[in-house]
Amino acid sequence: MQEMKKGSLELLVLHLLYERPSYGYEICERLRERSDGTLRFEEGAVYPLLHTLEREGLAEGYWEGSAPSPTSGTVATSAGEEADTTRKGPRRRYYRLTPAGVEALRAAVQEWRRFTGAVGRVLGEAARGEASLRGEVA
Amino acid sequence: MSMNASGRADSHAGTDAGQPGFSTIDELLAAVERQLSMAADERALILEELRGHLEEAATAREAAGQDRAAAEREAVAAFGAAGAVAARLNRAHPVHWGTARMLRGTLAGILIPYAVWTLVTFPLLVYNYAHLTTQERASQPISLWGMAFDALPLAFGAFRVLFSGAGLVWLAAFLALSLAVPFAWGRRSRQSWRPGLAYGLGLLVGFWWLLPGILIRRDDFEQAQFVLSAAAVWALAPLAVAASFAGARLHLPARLSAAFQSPRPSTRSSTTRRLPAARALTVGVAVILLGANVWAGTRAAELARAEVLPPVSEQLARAQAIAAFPLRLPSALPDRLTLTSVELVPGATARPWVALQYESADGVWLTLSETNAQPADDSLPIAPNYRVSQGTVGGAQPVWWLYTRKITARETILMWQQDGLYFTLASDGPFSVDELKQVAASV
Repeated sequence: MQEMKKGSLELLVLHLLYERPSYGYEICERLRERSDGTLRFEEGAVYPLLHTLEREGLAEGYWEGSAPSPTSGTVATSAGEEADTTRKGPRRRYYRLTPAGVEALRAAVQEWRRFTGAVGRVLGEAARGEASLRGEVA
Repeated sequence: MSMNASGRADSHAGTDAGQPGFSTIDELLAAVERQLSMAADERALILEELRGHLEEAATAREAAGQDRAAAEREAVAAFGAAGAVAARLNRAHPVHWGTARMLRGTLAGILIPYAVWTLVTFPLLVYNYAHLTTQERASQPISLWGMAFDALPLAFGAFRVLFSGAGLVWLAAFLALSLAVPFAWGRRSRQSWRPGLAYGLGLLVGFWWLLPGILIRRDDFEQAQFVLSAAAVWALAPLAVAASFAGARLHLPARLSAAFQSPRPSTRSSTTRRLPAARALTVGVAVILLGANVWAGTRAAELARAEVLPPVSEQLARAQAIAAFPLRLPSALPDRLTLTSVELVPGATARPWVALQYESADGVWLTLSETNAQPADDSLPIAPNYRVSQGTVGGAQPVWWLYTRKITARETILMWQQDGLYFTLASDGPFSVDELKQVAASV
């Protein structure tokens, strides 16, 4: 499972940001909740990834929090949800996908589906082989 | 752009593997902070973002019923290894050595070695001078500004230090201080060779004149020593690249690695308010250099004040008392020239040269030097740098020659040997060779 998680964090984070703008801690929580605790990353690994996405132009970071900003309020997301960015307390750095990020997500999803499809086909053949073997034994 | 989500540290990060785990947010952030290499303002924002995450994670655990200490401990543990996080953040925020930074690095490569050269040379020049005998000092009057000028690279004063007892001190200090800069740049930027290349280029630009200097002044120094010295200085260029590479790649223990990070007040941890070791070392070295130069300036001023030359007759008597041979003075001198000083010039052997300085009111000078010790280099100068002649002086069939240095085209020097003594007669005045031969013959 550990090896399978390698490389998948980028895809997952891109997808979560596609759903709505989010900040690091929230991304970690959403990952944990949505995977029922199966996907658990060292939380610190999210920030270098977010910063790299931002440096490559795939995501855009902005601060929200104690200091009101022109963009504060609710943000309509690509998935039709709303992110509440009006809050008190320490400010948070939110990230949202750029058009280039959406394209990167699309490509990453296709790649992932090719990969999982190939793995599935192999496992399917293996399952059929196992069933066949069990039948012969019976 | 793949991400290893396991949070393992890479080999280059100065990880905290093997160290006890951090139990508070401040401790973890201080450890991350020490290993970040980006600019201070960028670093502060990153740390603010990480702190926000950790505080929120701890608060959530506290809300679930944990006490604050346990909540922080768990939040810190879930965050992952400080070294791994810092290493990845460093990769995500590379310090880019583009054209502008390379140009600044090259300029620094010119200025810093010049400054180091001067600041290291000046105290050692004064130290050497202060350790001459009183008589030797009296015969070589100095001024504060003259000594400071000699310390500049182009004045070649460092070569006098280099070939003295303090030579190793000079060499070690110059190399260490000059190479510390590309090492620190490599360390902080995580750029292997670019900082060193920029610095090394600056060094070569700044010291391009060393080879011409050797060619022009090879009669003033032992040539092999001079070539070695120039080679040592030029070798700093590739060494700068190596230092930068070592700074970027060398895996230092975490405490030492952290020493190369700047102090920054962005986290609340009291540990980060301490002066990092590298900064403390820099300040310490700067204070020592400054102190040594202040001492040198004060000492040079004292020595200059103390060395008001006595009357010429007294100088002559003192020189005669030291020289183990009867001093000879020319009986035939061009008009206007009078004896103004008598200097004892250290030679290659324990027996010094005695230099009789004749000057006119309009600045024309003529120096007659004599010694009873065979000079270290008494071979004929090599053409084409010198115009060599042979002849006689005073009909005594000594071998003598004259030549013209390229650096001061008008300077003419006659050298000859007579009665076991060695003489040179030098002047850049408007005298013909025949006039100088007449002076030589009258000695």
